[in-house]
Amino acid sequence: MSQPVDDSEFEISASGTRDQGFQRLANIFAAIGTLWIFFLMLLIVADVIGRNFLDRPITGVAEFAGRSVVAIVFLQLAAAIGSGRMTRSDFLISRVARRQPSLAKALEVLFALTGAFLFAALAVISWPELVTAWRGSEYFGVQGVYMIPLWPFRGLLVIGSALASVAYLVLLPKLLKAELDGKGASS
Amino acid sequence: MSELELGLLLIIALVVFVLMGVHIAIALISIGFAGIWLMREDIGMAMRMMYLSAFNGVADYLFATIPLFVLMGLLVSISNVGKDTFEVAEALLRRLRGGLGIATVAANTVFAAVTGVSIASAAVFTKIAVPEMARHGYRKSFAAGTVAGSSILGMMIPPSLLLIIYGVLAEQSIGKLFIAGLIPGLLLAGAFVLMIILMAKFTPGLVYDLKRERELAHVRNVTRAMGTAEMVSKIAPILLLVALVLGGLYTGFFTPTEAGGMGAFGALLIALARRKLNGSKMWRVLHETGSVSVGILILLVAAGFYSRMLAVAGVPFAISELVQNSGLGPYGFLLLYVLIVVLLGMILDSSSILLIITPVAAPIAAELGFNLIHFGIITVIAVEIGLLTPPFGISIFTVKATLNDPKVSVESIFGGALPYVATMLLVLFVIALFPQIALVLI
Repeated sequence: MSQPVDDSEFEISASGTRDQGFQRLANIFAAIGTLWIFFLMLLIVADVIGRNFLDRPITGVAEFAGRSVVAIVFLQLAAAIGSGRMTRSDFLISRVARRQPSLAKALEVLFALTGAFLFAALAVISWPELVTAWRGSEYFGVQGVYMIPLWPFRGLLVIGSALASVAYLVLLPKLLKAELDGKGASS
Repeated sequence: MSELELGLLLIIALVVFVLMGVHIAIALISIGFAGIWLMREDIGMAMRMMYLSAFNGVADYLFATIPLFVLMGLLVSISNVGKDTFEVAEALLRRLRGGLGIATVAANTVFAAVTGVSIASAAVFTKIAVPEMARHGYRKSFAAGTVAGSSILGMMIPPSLLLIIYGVLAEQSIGKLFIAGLIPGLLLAGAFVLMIILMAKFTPGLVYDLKRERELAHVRNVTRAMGTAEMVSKIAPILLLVALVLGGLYTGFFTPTEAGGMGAFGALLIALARRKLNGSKMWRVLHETGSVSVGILILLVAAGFYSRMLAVAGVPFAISELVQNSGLGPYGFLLLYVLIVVLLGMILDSSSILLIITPVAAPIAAELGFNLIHFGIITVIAVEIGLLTPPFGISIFTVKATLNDPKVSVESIFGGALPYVATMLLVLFVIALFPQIALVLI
């Protein structure tokens, strides 16, 4: 943690050592999400070719694709937070940081805590839904034609938001210790 | 304090949060959360509604187009097809000042016929056009602003996600809306081109990084002219790709999501054929696709939750009352409506605006004698202006997120997109006065 950040263009993403463990975990989940996008593309291509040329469509691709979007988002969220890819407008904060570094630091910490709280709340409220889906064998699709269990998708929401919450907490020591260099955090 | 007053107060709080630099998604979710909690005095309900937004907000087949078209764009860009296209454009438009700006608009026009989501266009062309324009001596803020500005063509030229949403809400034929969007879309593109030519002629300092451009001047002079054969070979792959996606869509062969999947696959084949992919590059492309997509999609999730809060507060209803009690004529109403949509566009994402305002405004518009197809085109252009205006200009944020260059600030991109906003207002005015522009083809 006390290592100086030598490359200022990658302020958040490349700094620190202790939390690299968590960022690595977040990156693994992000990688699953990334592969999911590729798989989705292949699935859609297979469906188009199957339907038009082989007369063998793959049922349920549309519904699966819709659900996949949510899964992909929550798989990648923690990595996006950890590497500073969450969109923000840094116009004011970078000016505040130049004049009142401690105020800017306090704001950054407050924002990170807000993010951590919201995603923790989301993880907590998602949990019973996962339990219900697991116990009640909740499915989506067309009865008797194809059925996809819903619990993995509900589970990904729990894991994804819990990881996102931790990702915000992991930012804290960095925010507290780092000298805000007046350029503000990257966005 | 009434729920409405609280709702309006929360909108102000949102603007303050966003300006202070809270992550946009966190700002939207926390305001939505606080709003529902305070109004219903029930934290459990706030949590449940947050859960619903998170689980169902983007769980739609149409939203799968976003990662797929982002992937397609990145693959096209890594196989240097984008660079080639710009080289061809540079060769063709060499004598014109602002040629690459025009090329960006032209490329976006073609791409708009492939995608229905502005933010997808913005993500794709940030990757392709901004580095190319910077390399050729353009100002980065102009380049980024041009990409953001011309990306809105994606929502105007069919297929268009916004026109689909409007059509559903206003109970209008989506096919007719698509045809109606064609001429206004081309008109917008034409107006952008004209504006770039005028800017390059009269205010070159806004378009070019003049010092760097002078340094590049002699390089350009030695660049040899490109032969027709070379041009064709450079531009053929992207034309094939466009033909695949466009052709598939217009013949009804593909849904937009399928077009995205096939397009991405086609782009993958091109990249493989050009031997531009190895394992680590492929992984980088996929990783980048993921991180760009999640940045966009989490905003959509958050905006959806925030809209639910506004609906609970009754803000849309209050706006409708305000309009009906005002006693304005049709054009007075239209002016106020466009103003409100543009103002909403400053704080809300485009589909949320449509979800909130169309059910309220469409019946009033019909009563005042507007053709609802014409009204839809006006609505979408007004909503699109909101994509480019601070503090919540989602196209601008997309360009910023995709560019990931600390030297290009959000504000400078807003500045670069400003001339496009002005042009859109002008075109909006013309289309409002002459409904035939939208209606002549249907």
